[in-house]
Amino acid sequence: MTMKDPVRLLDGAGSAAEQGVLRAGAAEQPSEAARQRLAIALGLSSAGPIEAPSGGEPARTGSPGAADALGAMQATATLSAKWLAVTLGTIGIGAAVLATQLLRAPDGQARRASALEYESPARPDPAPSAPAAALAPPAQAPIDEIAPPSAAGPASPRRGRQASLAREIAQLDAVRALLADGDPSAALARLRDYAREHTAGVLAQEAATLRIEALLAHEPHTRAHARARTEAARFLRDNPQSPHANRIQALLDDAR
Amino acid sequence: MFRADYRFIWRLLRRLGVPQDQVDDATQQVFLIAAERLNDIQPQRERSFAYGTALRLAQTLRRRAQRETPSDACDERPSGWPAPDALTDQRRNCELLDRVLDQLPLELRSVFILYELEALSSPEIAELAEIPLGTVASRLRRARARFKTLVELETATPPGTRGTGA
Repeated sequence: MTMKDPVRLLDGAGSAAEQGVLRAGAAEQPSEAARQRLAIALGLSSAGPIEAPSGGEPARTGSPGAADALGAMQATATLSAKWLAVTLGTIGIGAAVLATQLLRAPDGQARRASALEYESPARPDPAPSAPAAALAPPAQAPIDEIAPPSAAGPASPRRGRQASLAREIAQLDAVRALLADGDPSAALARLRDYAREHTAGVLAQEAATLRIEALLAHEPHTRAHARARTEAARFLRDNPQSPHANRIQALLDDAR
Repeated sequence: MFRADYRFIWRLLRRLGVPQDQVDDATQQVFLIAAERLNDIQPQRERSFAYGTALRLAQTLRRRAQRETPSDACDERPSGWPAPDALTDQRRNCELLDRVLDQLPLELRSVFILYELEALSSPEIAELAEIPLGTVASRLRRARARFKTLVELETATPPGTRGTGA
């Protein structure tokens, strides 16, 4: 016997108060700027529209050009890659390229598990991701010696992004976990490793933001705090339109 | 459809109690993880994967937020909201919704959100959350009952005395 779904509260089953509450929640939507920020975080776009990989017409969701490009991608990308591309809308072309690149990346990189403190619900992973705490933190280096990652955005050729994006993601996940665990020194050390390995990483701005956060996590009135303010000022001056600008300003405001 | 999953995950995280100023970043994390795990995701199960990841991430972020200074989840005006004149009622309702949903256990809260706010059918919820249809019906029934009681209590209690036991 088929169970029939009950009438939804918003469709009349709820009181006026209940409907008002639910309507307020239903009115909240993500901003287009937030979606673009995700595109930037994936290294697929600046503030403007996304260009197709061939450098031709900018990708437009639903346009014939986009559909043709997606069709071409199907030959090499899996259905899951297509889902990611389609889900992210106007950045679909770039994301499909990204997904294809990830699939082609060396096994050790493409399959690196997230170092976040929770597990993703994929098929049982016999080799669970190494917790951030298991990473032996290197000896703390003087703050002045820690060069910040370039926050000017990905200037390296496409070849660099292809090979290392998955690794960048995992490294920055580990940094976040260390910050969440209250270990900013270890986080800074990991960011130093990141900067050495990715001289112009796709997620360079994300790394710069995390570095500022890690520096501010030290005691106030220390050199770390002063360094954080210097780097934050430089970041905001050089990248005023960055999606990370608000976050950095909030960090500074909280640290006052 | 092409923007549906992004909006879906964003709204899901928001209603699962992720602090307002962290929802964008949390949504980004879900999709970055999905991008990283594309090799492992079964075709046609992408949404389930993203849903499960979002659920776990929301739990983590809520635990972290509870350890830190509590902030007003509705401080920032979300996208698509009306002009300030009409904002007061919606903001109040938004805050009320946050308070009510925070009192639902996660398994009830998630089913309630998917059914009442995302308008998924029970079979769709069962497939997405990988739980039996009967479980969906049971959780929805319990969630709705608690939701009604909590809204009634919230709207009957004068604002100045909420949470004080008065």
